[in-house]
Amino acid sequence: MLTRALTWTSKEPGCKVTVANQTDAELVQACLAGDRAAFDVIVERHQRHVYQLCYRFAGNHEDANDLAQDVFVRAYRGLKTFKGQASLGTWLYRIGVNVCLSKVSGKTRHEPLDPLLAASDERIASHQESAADALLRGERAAEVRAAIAKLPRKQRATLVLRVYHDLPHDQIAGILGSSVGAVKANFFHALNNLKKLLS
Amino acid sequence: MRNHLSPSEFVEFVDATGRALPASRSAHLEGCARCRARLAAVREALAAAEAVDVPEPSPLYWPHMAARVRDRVAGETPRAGSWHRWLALPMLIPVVSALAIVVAVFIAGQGSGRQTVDPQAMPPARAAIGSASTDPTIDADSSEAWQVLTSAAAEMPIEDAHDAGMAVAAGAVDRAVQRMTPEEVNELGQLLRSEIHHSGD
Repeated sequence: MLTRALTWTSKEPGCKVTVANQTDAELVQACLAGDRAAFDVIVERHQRHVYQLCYRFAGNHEDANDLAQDVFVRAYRGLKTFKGQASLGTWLYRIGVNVCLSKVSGKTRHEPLDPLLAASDERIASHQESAADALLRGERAAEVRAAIAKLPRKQRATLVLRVYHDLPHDQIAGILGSSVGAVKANFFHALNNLKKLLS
Repeated sequence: MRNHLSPSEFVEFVDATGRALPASRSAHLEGCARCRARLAAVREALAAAEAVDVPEPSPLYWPHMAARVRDRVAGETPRAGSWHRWLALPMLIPVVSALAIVVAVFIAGQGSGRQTVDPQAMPPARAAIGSASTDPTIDADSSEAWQVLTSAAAEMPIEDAHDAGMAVAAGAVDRAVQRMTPEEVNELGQLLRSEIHHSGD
């Protein structure tokens, strides 16, 4: 991620709020008080995680980009409903999952379908990795992405949040509006179905 | 073997090697080939999923995305949630449609009633209202409320009414509105002005 020092001052007319080192809750309050620059900082802080979440659902950059923007626009509109009971990150995840589940279907185009392109997109773990190995790894990654896209919605959401965002089950339950037991069951069935799809 | 591991117990073994579970469950796993095979399959699927990364966008992408979000929210203010959003114009369309249909049904009921009742037999006040509601002398050009009403109706796509689950006979709303009394037209006009004023933010 592009690192950028968060030590700057709002350029809003008449607004001298320094947003450096403010907590998310303070940024939300500043934003509600009319400091738009505070929301810029919120976006900068969370855009990577939100984008990655959207990419896991959409499977391609273009859709993930659109979805991530939608998440932040919805978050901005609903800032007054953010009560601070959960972290801002968790709240954004909740919005993100809702946006993705409502807009992404199982038939979403997952890129790259071409294993050659897939291999070039995947990080090369080692410079010694042969082109053939990279090709195989890219092909496998495309298969796994396509299989995850075929999972039922809640299983897919649970898998994405647990595996790729390392969220604990109780936090996932809060995001999905489920019980912890249901999250664990969904996670198990997601992995079980994924195994079948990959076989 | 009975008492195979439940999905939650499998997840406990996947997450933390079953440390949170009673020793009897670990003992079951050791002795149950079926559960061991299922656990191995689940772990294999997890490993496959974990091996897939999200391709990293260009470093230039992040400021670009932040700028796009900034542009999109530039004309907005955080909303109060709850009832304010119901006054947004798209939400207003089915509301106005419903209002028009309710008025249509009400007026149609009144109209059919009037056809069976001799106006001369009505009390004076009722007779006055009855005659006004069909009075062709309502000045559509000079009535501000009428203008608001017709302009709002003109901007309402028929698809939106259908999407809202409403379907009316062709011309029914027009006929209903034409049969409204001046008081009813004014009342409806005030309602519409109020809604349009609230949704204009």
